[in-house]
Amino acid sequence: MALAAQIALGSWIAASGAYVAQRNRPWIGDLLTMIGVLAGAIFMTTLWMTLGRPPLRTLGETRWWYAIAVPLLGILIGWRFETRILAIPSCLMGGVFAAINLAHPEYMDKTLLPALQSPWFVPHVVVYMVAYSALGLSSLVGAWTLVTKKIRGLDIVPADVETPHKLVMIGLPLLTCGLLFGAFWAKEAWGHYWTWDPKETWAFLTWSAYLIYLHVKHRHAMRPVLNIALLVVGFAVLMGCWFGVNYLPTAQESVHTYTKPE
Amino acid sequence: MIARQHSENSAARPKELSSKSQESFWQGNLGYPQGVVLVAFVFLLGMALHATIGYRISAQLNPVMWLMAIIVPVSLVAGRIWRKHRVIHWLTGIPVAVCVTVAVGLLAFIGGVVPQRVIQEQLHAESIWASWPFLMMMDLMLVNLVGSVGKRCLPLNYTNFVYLVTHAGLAIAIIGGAGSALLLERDIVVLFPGQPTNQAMKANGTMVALPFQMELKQFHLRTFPPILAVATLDPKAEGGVSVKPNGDFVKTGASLKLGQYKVRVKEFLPKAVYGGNGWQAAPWKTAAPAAMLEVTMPDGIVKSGWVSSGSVDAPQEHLRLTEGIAIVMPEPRPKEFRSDVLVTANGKSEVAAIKVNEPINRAGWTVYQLSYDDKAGAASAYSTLEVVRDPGIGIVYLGMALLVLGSLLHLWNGMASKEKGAS
Repeated sequence: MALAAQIALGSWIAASGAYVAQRNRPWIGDLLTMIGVLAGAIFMTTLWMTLGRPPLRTLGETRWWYAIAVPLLGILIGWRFETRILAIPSCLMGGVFAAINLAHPEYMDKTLLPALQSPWFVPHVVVYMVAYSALGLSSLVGAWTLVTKKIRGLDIVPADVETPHKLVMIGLPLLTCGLLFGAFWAKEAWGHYWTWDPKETWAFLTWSAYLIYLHVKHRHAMRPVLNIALLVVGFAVLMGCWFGVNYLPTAQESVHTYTKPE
Repeated sequence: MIARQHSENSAARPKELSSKSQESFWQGNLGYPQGVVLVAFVFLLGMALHATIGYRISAQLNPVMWLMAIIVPVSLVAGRIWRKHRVIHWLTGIPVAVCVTVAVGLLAFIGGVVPQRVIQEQLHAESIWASWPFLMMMDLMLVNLVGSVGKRCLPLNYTNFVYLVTHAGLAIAIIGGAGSALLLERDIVVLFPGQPTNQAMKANGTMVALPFQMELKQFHLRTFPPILAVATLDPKAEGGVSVKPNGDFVKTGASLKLGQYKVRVKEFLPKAVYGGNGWQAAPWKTAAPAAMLEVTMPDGIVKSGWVSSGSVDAPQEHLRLTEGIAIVMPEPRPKEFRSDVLVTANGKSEVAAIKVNEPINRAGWTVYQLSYDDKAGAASAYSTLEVVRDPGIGIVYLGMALLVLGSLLHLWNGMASKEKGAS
């Protein structure tokens, strides 16, 4: 099982190198990326079968979904919109998250608490992870473009925000669905759809941050630096929701924080 | 959403306005600076209400609902009729939307970072969410949302339809949520076997009569099989002991690896008690799981002994390996807990099973399985249920359903637009 995870990591690193070294033959990078995604999918399927429950419960498990979804999304969006700009950032981001998990493997807890045994569990987390992937990629691509163009002394133009914006237009609707699926689930499990639990509050903040980006982008499409800056802020808030809330003074008040492995 | 290139008349405007009088601040083009002032005014108004009326929820939500009952239709009509008026156009536009969303976000940030206890002690408030500034800000957001719905409701083409579904969905969800906050009843019922009751306890400790009666027939608890862990004395760890578990379930014949120790489970008793002859199987609710282990240490020394998580009727037992290191069996985690309850409503009685994620509905109330005596486990003498009555839930669900629909339409639009990205 660990071998599949290592193959996934190796493939994404090799794909990043291939996209740089074999610029005229991007299919090599695409092939390596897909090998990594396939290996990651085999790893997750095996993990699911070994645990006997969906591997979506712990922080490390959600990180694996993210690691696989980012390169997959990068390649699918790239094919759909005929752009290579996502290729390297998506492979690198997937590789970083896979490397974190391989460096700090979590113990395999097979239990699934009663509150998590819900039909909403899988769609809520999977939709959220795909949304996080798209939104994370949008910030990375935006920041990457901003920094590389600044270094080369080039102007940032509105067209530079178009690919990140397309990713937001995929990520934000999914984020909204994930948020609402969670509310429907909470009503079934705890009797109320929204209690301003710290995790819920941070989910609301993440959603608000991207709504602000969307409205500002809509009105100020000609200010690409501002738009990219808002994407970076949005991703910082997203990270606060995903990881950061576990370390806040309010974490103890939350029923939603991820199980902390020993 | 279809990306549009908007004119940035607001960006060119501030230079002209900077040297003008206070009066011209509101007479020129209205944009973000005026939005900030509006939001600051609403916040200060909220703080003034806090200073005078206070933070009592029941006292403050009623006026908020009345305010909503007025501002929703007024905003809708004004947004439609006077949509071209500069003030209405601004009030229902993006600058105010952005300013009010930032303000709500900042207040939410405080609530997401500062523990509830600190807010209660320092601000003398129940919570940020029931505070005047937050509620006033939500009212301003409603004015902006509903007004924009009025502005964009006609002509009903595809673009406006997608806009309406998302914005009206959010507005409806907020209105329903405010209704819920006012009308929601969430009470606790503690059920004991053979003691039927219709009494529920409110959060303030007062009792309320339900329109139906409940009696606990049986409480069931199923747990996952236990796991094993290495416990090490560690002054830095919580409670002075660091516990590193292995995820594999304990079963007879299993070979497990716990860190540097190889463990073989020679015998596993899912339910056992400790008697004069050691651990013995016992089919009692109060029994505890126990396992006979054979542990091979890194230096080849083999140690054997029983471990048990313990229960109210069985002692906790661990296998000591060296000074400060032992193999322990943490308490098994609950897999399912369920109450079989005899519910009598409108003269009709029936036994209903209530478990987590599977509530039941009776006489307008929803009954949820909440908790039990976790120290007694399966032998818990009572079951704690939560009863909820939420008349506003239908409105909230309508708003949420519209938001989901709007999100799917946006997703479709996002994937369907086939413009080449930057490369």
